[in-house]
Amino acid sequence: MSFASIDFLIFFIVVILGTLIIQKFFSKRVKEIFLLLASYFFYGYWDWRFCFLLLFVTISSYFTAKHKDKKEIYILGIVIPLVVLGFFKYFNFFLDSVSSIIGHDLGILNIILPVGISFYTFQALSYVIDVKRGKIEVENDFIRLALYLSFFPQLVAGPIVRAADFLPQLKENRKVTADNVKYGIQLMAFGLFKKIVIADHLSVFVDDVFKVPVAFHWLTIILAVVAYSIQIYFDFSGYSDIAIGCAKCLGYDFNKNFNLPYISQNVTEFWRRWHISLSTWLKEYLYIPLGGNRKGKVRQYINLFITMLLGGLWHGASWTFVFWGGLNGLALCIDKMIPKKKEKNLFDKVIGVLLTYTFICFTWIFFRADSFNKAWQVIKGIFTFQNGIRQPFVWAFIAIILLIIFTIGAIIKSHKNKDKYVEGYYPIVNLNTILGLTIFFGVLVIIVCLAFKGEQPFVYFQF
Amino acid sequence: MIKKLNNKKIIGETSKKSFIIKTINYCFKILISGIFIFLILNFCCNFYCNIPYYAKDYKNSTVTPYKYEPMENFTYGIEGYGYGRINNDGYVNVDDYDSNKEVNILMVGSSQFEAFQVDIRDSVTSRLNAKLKDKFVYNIGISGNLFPKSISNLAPAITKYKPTDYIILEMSDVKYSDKELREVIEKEDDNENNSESSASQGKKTNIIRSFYNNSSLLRLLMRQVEKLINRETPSSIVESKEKFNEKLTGEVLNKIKTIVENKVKVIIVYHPSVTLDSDGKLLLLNNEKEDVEKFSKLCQENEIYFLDMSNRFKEEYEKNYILPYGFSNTSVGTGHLNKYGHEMIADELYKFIEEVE
Repeated sequence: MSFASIDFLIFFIVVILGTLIIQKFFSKRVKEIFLLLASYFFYGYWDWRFCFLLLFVTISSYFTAKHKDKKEIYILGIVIPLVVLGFFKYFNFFLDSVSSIIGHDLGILNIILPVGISFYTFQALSYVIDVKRGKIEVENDFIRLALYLSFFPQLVAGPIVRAADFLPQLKENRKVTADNVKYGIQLMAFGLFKKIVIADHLSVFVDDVFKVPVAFHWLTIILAVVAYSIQIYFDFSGYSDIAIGCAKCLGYDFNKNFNLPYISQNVTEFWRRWHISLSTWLKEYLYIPLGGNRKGKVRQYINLFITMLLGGLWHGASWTFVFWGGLNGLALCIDKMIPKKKEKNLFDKVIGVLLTYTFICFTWIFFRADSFNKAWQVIKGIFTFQNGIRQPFVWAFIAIILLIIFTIGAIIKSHKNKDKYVEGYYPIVNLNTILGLTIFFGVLVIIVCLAFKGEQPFVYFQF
Repeated sequence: MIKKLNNKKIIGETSKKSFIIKTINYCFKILISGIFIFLILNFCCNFYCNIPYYAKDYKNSTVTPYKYEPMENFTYGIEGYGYGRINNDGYVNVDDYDSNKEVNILMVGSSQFEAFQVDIRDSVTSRLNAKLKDKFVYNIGISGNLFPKSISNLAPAITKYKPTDYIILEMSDVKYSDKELREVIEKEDDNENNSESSASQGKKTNIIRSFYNNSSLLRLLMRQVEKLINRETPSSIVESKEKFNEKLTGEVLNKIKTIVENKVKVIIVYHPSVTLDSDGKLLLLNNEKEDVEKFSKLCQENEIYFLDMSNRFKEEYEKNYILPYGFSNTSVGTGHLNKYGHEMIADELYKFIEEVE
């Protein structure tokens, strides 16, 4: 079930009420079991068969981490999640690629891609590796580990919560409280607004243009690329906000997954602000083990490039994603080569932001296009000043204005707090006052009134 | 000991009381803020989406399945942006209906002719009125009144409005189900509308209904919630699966001929749905050339004029990249006729009428 559905609303209300009753009358253990069952129900709502796969990954992580000192078993703990991910997500891609190379059709297997597989396999890996590294202790409680891997707010599209951050929270007696719910539902409303009001409306326009780029005027194509940059940001950060809000209502804390990525002054900064949980994961479990920056400049560039290439592949089984990752890897290497000014004036900052944003938008073309051919049509359309349908899509302008307003708000707030690093913030109001309640109800009504009415899945569900 | 217990009891009662007071206080805050935000957003909603609602006496509507509450303003910002006022007769026209004023051309059709997604002055009706200065064009197009339904109601429409020159009907598909066509053929021309929607729609004029009708926000919320519950897959154009039934279609067209009795000329405007292929070329949907030709021939046999918009739509796209459907807040080329679509139809109708006369 999607966060942006009536089914989820009912499910969530039942979970909150159930948790409230359990924490009042029963032990913490009962609450853990209840949340675990709720999470499996949430996951099984898509396809009950997926639950067995999740359970299998959980069991393998549980036992392999327990025997971390035996090298073979530890390797098994790494290999099993990777094999599961590789088979379900990349097997057909592999067959297809080999077919193209040898010029003989090997056919494909009828494999359904389980939702969220990329996220929970990465969480399972982080748990086993962290145990081995001694960052966390082995979790002897199977229920607790299973709840960490299946906890419904982050199960299908992240954020990728690391065991070191979440398992200690599960050990504490976190509760559903009025304050948590008041905070959490505001985050959820904020995320929902981003998703079903802005991102879903933008998807209509973006889908139209990326379906037939040759039919559109070059300015419309540029607008569509900009619209996609906002769509994917609002879609995914909206999902993360809902996930963080859900967890907060239940008393748990997730870290921020996005932090105003489009104000980045270079690509390195962009990856510190975009999908933070994935960037951190890739850094800790791929870039650093590859050698990071400890083995000289050349190795550092190679490590960066490999990390981003694999990061691209993580997003989807397609060469366009690999190319997108490669472009970002290349940009990160170039960024590392350029010496940085210690003091930047406003002009430098603005130029940095504009250049970075333009580059990121360019890479999004490959991320969004179904094939290299479509991506080429988009690029060609822009650079040949192609004539075609002019579509000044209203929602694209609304989204741009909102993004600018949010960004300026964050810059002003950081400036007031004398922060050097501009941080995004959640517009939280005090729900104990009439003004706060009025604003909150207003946002809820606006969400329903302006919601996109078609079914539009979260972009990151496919990953 | 007793004193202690009493104290505990008193403390317990006090905290219970304070909890109740706090809860009542919070509920009061919720109520006040709810009312406050409702009033603000209800006012704002009038500028975004104030969908027209059924007239109180719509059951008495004999010419269309229903009609709107007369003299009410409307705004429509969900698909395109249109605003205007429903006329005194319950339809979307710039001019009010005056039974003493002769109607020369009567426009009958669905939401495409109703045109509340566009500025009321951009509709086919308004444009034709501007072009044909010596004729009064009147529109009774209304949502859901598709081609077969509009024929069912043709006799009462002629009786009421007595068009002197033309009746213009519209359709986006020449193929209809046998069931629909048979219903039209078998319906008796009793000059009375007995359509299902008239019978099934409410007749309540109580306070709740009046409150609902007068609140654009409530109407929008109801509509949105209903659509969110029954969510559709991303907008896609569905091609008609019906097969062209030449015999039944001929009978339907013959029925039109019988109804109008040569008193007035009938023009059927055919505006096919469009889509773009992967090369960016315009494709006309539900538009098998053979079927359209057969339909056109049947029209000719029944002394009905047939105006096919296919070529004009293609030309306009190939020369100017303009599509007749879709708006700047919806998917390209889908949905209702936009202002360009209305303009193209008005233009072709004008030329056609000039030619005929």
